[in-house]
Amino acid sequence: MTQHLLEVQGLETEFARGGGSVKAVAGVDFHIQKGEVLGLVGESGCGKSVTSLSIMRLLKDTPGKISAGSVRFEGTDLVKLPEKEMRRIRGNDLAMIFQEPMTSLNPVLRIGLQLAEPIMMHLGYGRKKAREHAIHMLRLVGIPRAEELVDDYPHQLSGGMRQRVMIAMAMSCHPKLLIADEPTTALDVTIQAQILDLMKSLKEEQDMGMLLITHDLGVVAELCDRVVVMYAGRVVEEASVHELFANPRHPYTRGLIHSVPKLRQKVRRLESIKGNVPDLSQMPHGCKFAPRCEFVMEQCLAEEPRLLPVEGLEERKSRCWLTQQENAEGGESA
Amino acid sequence: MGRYALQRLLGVIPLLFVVSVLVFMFLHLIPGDPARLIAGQDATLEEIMGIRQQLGLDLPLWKQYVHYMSNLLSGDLGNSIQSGLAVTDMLMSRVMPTLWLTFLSMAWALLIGLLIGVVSAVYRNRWPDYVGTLAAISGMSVPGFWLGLVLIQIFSVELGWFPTGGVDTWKSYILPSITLGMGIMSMLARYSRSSMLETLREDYIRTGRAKGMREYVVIGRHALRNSLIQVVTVAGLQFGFLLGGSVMVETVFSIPGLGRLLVDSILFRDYTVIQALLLIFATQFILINLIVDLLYGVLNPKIRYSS
Repeated sequence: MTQHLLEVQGLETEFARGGGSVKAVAGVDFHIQKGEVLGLVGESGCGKSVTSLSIMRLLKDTPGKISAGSVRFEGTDLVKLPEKEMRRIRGNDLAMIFQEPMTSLNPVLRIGLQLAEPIMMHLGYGRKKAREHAIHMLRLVGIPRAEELVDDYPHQLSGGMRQRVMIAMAMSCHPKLLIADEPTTALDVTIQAQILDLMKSLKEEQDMGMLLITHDLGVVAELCDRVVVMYAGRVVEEASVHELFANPRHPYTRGLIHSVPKLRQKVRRLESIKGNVPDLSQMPHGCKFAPRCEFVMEQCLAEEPRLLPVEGLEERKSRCWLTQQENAEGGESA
Repeated sequence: MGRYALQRLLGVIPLLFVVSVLVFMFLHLIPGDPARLIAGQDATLEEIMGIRQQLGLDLPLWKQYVHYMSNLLSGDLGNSIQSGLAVTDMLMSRVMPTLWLTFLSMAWALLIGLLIGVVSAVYRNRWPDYVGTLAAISGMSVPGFWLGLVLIQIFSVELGWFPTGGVDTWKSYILPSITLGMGIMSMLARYSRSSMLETLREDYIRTGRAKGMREYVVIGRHALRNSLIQVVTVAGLQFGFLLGGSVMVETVFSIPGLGRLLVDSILFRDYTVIQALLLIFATQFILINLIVDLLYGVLNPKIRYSS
């Protein structure tokens, strides 16, 4: 078996809450291959950001901690790595960009210094060489007047420019895997397209894997090779991007796809999935999606289905009793 | 930055003008005739008239102000009613002990207060935080005059390490500065803790960690500078209160400073000296606020560039 770039297995992350603890991530499995873009999709609060922070081990200063599972990056289990070695990987082979470009840069430090920090740290460059590299990176992400902008402060830049700076920063040490947590959510639609194009071209140039966290299916269609859909801290469906849109298996995924408004269709009301994501401390007993599911059966309330392969398809999984029924029927008829 | 600093400096001028008017009016705001008050109860009318003329109180108010200002600008603050000495000379001999005392108190209070605050925030809800909190709350609760007396009793009387008062050696300043700085240190410790905790939750701190920065770089370079912006405000305000505190500390430790001079001149109703001290304290407040404003500019590029 070939080694995946990133392999997450049985990852669980707990948050201390009111004396007890709740699982924000409850046993997540997925993998990313070299040069592949995996989309991690789901509503707010489904645990996708916590998953990414767990991979980066950036849960410090949150009440959360990884309680089970492994995160293998090029074969090394990051969960077990001492902090000192983890630090050598962060910002180096494994980089991350965040949702909020407006607040993710330090307001009192010049752009140049913030860019140079990881370069000096991981690539061992001196001050001057790091600055040159920083300017080079800024040019690479399409920032005009890069040699002047390195001496600016974040508040002098627009949101789109700041996100470009964040991308330049993340890419500066040529990471093998980039985790992008809703990189375009806070930006204008026109800027979103620019940033997506930029990420696409950079990814191809550098042959880098990417974990793209988003709730925007448009972004998924634009960038991803494969998609993992999360609900209530669990993976509910896994598919190639084509399969996902053509033939979604899990009712939740169908709901997500249907809730995207279509241009040609005239509708009075926008489609939505009824109900809300359940509170982490009050999870339903069986399938976590059952209370909102239109196909709910008795079995769904009694027992949680497992994430099982969809018959006959590679890297195609669904966590639904319906899929398992279909699998069984498919098996009988064959 | 230059423009910002200039703006702040120019902004001080009208403030100083208002202060000078208020201080000038001080003599006229005292109930009754100041000349009569100064002369005493059994003074003759001639004596009173003499004092009135000597102080220029018989001139129209605006003329008196012009007179007062021109004297002030040439460094003449009049003569002490009690001793007849030039007030300027009296102040000159008293200003250094007070300056040293306030400076030393502020310096150690800032240093230790910040240190306790940062350590408490970084080790939140663990033992260093509890120790820091305990130290800060004790420091805040202890009244200055009591602390001063206890310190004298232990370190001067029992152990004999420091003199009980006066300003003969550098050692004389140690106990008074501890006494004067204690409250501010505690305040700064609490304040920098909460400000640091707030900063540590910011997105850019996470960015710093995601870049693989060492924790001390994240805290020292990324968090501390941002939380200092808030701490500077409190420190500036507290500095003003130091002046009030110095009156008490100078009395307890018999330090011949401005605070003691104020107490003495109030006791003797030495109005010209009180007037001069009011001017000095008010100006000092304004200067400290100016310094705080300039520090904002140094710490926060947003302020520096938006002006």
